[in-house]
Amino acid sequence: MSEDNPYDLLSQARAMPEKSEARLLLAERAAKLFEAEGQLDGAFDAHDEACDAACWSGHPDKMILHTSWMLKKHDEHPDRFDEFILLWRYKWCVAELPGFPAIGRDKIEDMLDDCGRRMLGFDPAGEAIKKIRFWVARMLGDEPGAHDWAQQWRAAEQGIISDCAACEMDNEAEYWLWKGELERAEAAVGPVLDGRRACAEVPHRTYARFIVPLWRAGRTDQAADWDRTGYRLVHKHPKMVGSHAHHIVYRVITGDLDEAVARLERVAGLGLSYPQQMTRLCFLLATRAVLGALADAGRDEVALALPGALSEDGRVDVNAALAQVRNQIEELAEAFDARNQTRTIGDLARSDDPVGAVERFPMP
Amino acid sequence: MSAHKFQVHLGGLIDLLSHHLYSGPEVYVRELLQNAVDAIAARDDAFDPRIDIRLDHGPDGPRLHVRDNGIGLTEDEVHRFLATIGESSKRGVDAVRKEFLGQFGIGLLSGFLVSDHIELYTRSAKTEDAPVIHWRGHKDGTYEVGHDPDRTAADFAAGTEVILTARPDAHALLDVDTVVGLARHYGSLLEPPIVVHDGMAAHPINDEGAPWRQPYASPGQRREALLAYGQRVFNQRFFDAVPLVSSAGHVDGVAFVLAHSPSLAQHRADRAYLKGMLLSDRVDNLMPEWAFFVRGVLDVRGLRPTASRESFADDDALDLARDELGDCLRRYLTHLEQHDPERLTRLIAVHHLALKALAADDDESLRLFIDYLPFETSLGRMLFRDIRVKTPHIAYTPNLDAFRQMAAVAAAQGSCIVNAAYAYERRLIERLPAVLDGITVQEVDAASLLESFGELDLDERDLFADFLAEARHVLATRQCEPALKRFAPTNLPTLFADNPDAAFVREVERQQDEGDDLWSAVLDGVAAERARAMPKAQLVFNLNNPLVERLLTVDDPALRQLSIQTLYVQALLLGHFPLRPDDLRLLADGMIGLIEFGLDAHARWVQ
Repeated sequence: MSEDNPYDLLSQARAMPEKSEARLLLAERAAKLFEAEGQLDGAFDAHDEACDAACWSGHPDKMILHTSWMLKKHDEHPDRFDEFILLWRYKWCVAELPGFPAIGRDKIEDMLDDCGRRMLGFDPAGEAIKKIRFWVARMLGDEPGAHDWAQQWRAAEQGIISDCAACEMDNEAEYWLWKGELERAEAAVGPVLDGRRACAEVPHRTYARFIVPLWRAGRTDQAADWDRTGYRLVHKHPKMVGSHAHHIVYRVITGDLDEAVARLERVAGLGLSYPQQMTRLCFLLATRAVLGALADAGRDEVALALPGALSEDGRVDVNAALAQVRNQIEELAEAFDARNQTRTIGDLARSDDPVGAVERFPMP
Repeated sequence: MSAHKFQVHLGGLIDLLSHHLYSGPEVYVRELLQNAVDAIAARDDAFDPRIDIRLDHGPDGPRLHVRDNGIGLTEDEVHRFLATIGESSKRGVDAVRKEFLGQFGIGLLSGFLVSDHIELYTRSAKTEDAPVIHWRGHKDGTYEVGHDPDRTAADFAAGTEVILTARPDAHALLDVDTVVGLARHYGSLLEPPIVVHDGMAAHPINDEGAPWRQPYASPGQRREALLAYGQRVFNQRFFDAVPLVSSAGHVDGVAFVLAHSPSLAQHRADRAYLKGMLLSDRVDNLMPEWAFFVRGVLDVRGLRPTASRESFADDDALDLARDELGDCLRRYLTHLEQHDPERLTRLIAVHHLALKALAADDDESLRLFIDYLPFETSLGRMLFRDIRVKTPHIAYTPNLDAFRQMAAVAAAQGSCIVNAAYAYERRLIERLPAVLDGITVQEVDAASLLESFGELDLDERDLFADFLAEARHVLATRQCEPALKRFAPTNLPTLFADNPDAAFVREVERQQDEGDDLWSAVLDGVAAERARAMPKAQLVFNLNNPLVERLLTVDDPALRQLSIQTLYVQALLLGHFPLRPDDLRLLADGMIGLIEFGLDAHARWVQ
C-alpha cells in the first residue's frame, strides 16, 4: 500500500465510510496522481469517487468542481465514459447552483438549458429538469415561476433519470406543504412512512419537513413521534443540514431548549460553514431561533461549543453570538436579494419568526 | 352503480407470491414449519410438542408430509381459513394467536410453489371427539373437504398433517438432502423437536439447539464450540466468539470477531432468527454501527422486523437492544484489557478502525483503549501510548495534504504530528483533553509549522529583501507568497505550504484554464466566497539549504528568476500538486534557461 500509488489511494477511498471526509480527501489525492501520470480513465474514476464523496460528506462546492472536470473530459472523449452516471452528478450540481449567490441568474439558466439538453435521451419529457427548475425558481424567489414549473413537472412523464420513487413522493409532499395543504402532503408519502419506499435520504428528510406543520396543526403527539423517529435517522447524516435545522427549531417551539442546544452543537461545525450558502442561511436561522430563545429565557451565557468566534472555550455569550448570527444572516440575505432581483429570500430570512422562516425555507 | 365481486385467480396469485412475497420456492419449508410451530404455540393443554417431516414416494411422485401435534382445525375452521387467506400478510410481524387462521392459510398456499395439489388432514385439539377432517386443494383454486372415515381419533392424534406431491420441475426441492438442509437452515433454533424421516433414517433438525445456550465444561470449550458453529454458519474462521444478550427486545446470540479487517463501506449483514425461525442473513441494523468488526447470529423475540425482512423497525425498543448488545461487546473488550492484553493487542492490530469508531463516541472506551490504538504520525506509525510518552501536547492535522506537506519537515525537527485525516481520528483526538488528564491537543497546519521555523534577523532581512521582492514578482499570478526561513532538513530547498481555501481556488483556476466560458463563470461563483478571503499558499525558501544559500548570493537577476521559478515548480511536484499549463510553461522555460545559462558559462570557461 503506497501513498503515491493512485490505485491504492482509490481503493482506500472506496473502503472508507460513505459519508466520511477521509473518503473525499483520498479520492481527490488519487485523482491528482492519476492526472499527473496522464491516466485519464483512472482520473475519471477518482474524480467520480470524489464527486460522490463530496456529495455525501457535505461539500457541494467540491462536487461541482469534480463534475465540471468530468463533463469536460466526457465532451473531449464522447463515448469513453458512462454518461448516465455523469448526468446524475450533473443533475445534483445544477440543483445546488442557486445556493451560491455569486452565480448569476443568467448563468444558472444557461446551466439548466445545458443539463436539460444533455438529459433528453434519458428524460424525453424533461420531468427531472422541470422539477429542478421548480426548485431553482423557489430558491431565486420567483414564486410565479415556481407555480408554473410545478405544473409542468407534475404533468410530465418520468424518464429513467428521474428521481427514485421515494424521493418523488417526498417531493410531492413538499409541494403540498409549500401550498399549505398538510393532509394532501401526508397522503403523498403514505408508502414512504410505512416503509414500503425508502432511499438514502427518504424518509429521513420527510419526517423533518412535517414536524413543525404538524405541531402547528395541533397534532402535537404525532409531531413529537415524527421528530423522534426522524431525528434518529438524520442524526447520523451531518450533511442533511436543512433537515437538522427543522429538528432544531421544532425543539425551540416546543420549549425543549436543552435538546435544541444539544442538536445545534452536534452539527454546528458543518452547518454554520456549509459551503452552499442558501443551506447555511437556513441553518443560521435555526441557530438564531435557539440563541433568541436562550436570550428570551434570560440566559446570558451558555456552555455550548460553536465554531469560529461564536464561542470561546466552549462557552457562548448569547447576546453577542446572536448579534453575529444576525449579521451573517443579513449579509447572506442581501447577497441573495441582489442576485435574485427579488426580496423573497431576504424578507423570509429577516422575518421576526426564525422558526417560521426555517419551515418555509426552500430546501430540496 | 352496482356491486360485483371479482374473481381472484389462485394460480396467478401463487406466481405473484412466489416472485414477490417469497424469495424463492425453497421458502415452502419455512412456511410449513412456521404453520406447525404456530399451531403448537396455539395449543395450551399439556402435551409434548413435536414436528415430523416424512419423505416417501406416492403414485404421482415424491411426497412430503409435515405432521405437527398442535391445535389442529375444526371443519368450520378449515372453511374459514380459506375465507381469511390474505387477511393478514404480516406473517411474523404480529404473530399473535388471533391471526393464526389467516396466517395458516398464507403459509399453506406456499405449498403450491412445489406442488399442484395440497392435502391436509387435521383434527382439532379443542374437543376430545373431534373428527379427522380431510381437505384437498388444487392450484386452480378449487378444493374438496370432508370427514375422513379411514382415519379415526384413535389413530390420528390432535394436530395437522400437510402432504405435498412434487411437480416434475420441483422434484429436487423434495429431495431428502434438500429438505434436511432447508429445515436446518430455517429451523435449527426452533423449540419443538423436528425430525425428517426418509424411510431409512431419521435426521434430527434442531436437537442441538442454540449453541450459546448450552452448558460447557469450561470457558475454553465454550469458545471452541462457538467458533466451530460460527465457521459452519458463515463458512469462515473467526478470531473470537462473544456471547450476546439483551433484555430489551429479548435478544440473545453470539458475535463472531472477524479474523480480517472488513471494508468500512460494506453494509452490516448479521444473521437473525425471529423466535427461532430464520429471518435473514442480511440484517443490517440490530448491532451497533461501530461493531463492524463482528458478525452476529442472534435470536430475537421482542422486536418487529420491517417488510423487507432485512432490518428491524427503528423504534425505541431497537435502540435499547442495540445499546445492550453494544455493552456486551464493550464488556468483552474491557475483559481482554484487564485479563488478556496480548489478545487485545492482536485484535486491535486487525480492528483498530472499529475500535476508533467506538472510542470516538464513547468516553469510557476512549479511556480504556486509546493507548492501544495506532496512529500515523510524522515519526511513523505509533501507538498512542508511545505518542503520549513523547509529548502530552498532541499536534494533529485533519487535512491529508497538509500532513503530507508537513511530515518530512516535522520529522526532521523531531516533532510528532498526528495525521487525523482518516475517518475517526479527528473526533478521537479532539475529545482527548476532556477524557484524559494532562493531555492537550492542538490543530496545526503548514502555516503554524512555519511559525516554529527560525526567522531572519534584521540584517538578513535587509540583505534578502530584493530576493523576496523578485520571488514575489515571479509568483504574482499563483496565489502564492514567498518567504525565507531556516528549517530542517537542510537538504530540502523549499516547502510549499498550502491552505485548503487557496488549494480550492487554485484548482478552480486550473480548470478554468482548460474549461469553457459557461463553467468558468459558474466555478467563479462557487469559489467566490473562498477567494474573497484572499488565501495564499506560501513558498518557503530554506536558508539552511546550501543551494538556497548560494542562490541568495547570485547577482545575475535572470539566473535568480530562472532558479526561483524552477524551485517553485519542483516544490509543487514534490507535494504532488497538479500543475496548470502555465506551471508547465514555467518549468520548461526555467529548465531551458538554466541549461542555456550553464552552456554559456561553459563556453566562457573554455574561452
